[in-house]
Amino acid sequence: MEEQRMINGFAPPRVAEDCPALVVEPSMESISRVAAFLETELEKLEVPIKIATKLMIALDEVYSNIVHYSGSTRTELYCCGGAGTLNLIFRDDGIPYNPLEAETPDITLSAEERSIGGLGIFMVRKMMDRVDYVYENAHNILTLSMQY
Amino acid sequence: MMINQNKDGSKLCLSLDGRLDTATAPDLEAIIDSSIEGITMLTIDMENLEYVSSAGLRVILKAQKIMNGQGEMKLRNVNETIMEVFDITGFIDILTIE
Repeated sequence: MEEQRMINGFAPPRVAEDCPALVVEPSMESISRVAAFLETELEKLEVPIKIATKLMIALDEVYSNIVHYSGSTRTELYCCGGAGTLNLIFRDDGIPYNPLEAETPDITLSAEERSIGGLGIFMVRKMMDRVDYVYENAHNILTLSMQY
Repeated sequence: MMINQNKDGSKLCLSLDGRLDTATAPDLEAIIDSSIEGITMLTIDMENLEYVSSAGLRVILKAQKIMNGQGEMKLRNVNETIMEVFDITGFIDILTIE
């Protein structure tokens, strides 16, 4: 039987290459394809709807950031589930960007003073159980984790 | 996402069905841009809306700013996940949620 080591209560991500994957050239047009991929995988894994919805929101935030700002020409998406942990991994060849170092937006401003910059990544950090980032071999690797 | 418009004089109700995200937020923005003139009460009904991402928040904020200048805006039938998004982002304080 495979030994499941736990780190801070989370099963470590399996080797991403073993997980269902989608490789895309980031573009606005590909957003619905990427969303459909994740939705299908979450259904297969029977991830509860409330957690699946948060993951769909997080996907929209991260992927749209990659499309708009990263300059990536090839992005890999892995959906790794099992042992009650879902790891959604983004690997892109865009400019180095660590969302964990992003500035926190001021969420107390009035409607008139508000801008939306930085809000998406802020939501991801608040909604996910865990977010990990590494820059490795000229790729951003962002792992979003949820227990289910 | 499907958007159903129901206009009664200067009142406009937009019922959203599906997801308000990067792919669909421009559709809502286009409808608001073309229909909001002269509206004094804008209601956005979210009964059949699954979720809202920040792309959707941007359009909701834009509508709120416009309506602050010409009337009122209300959100109706907000589900738990969307409420959590409004809460996390502080939108709960700048929106009127029934």
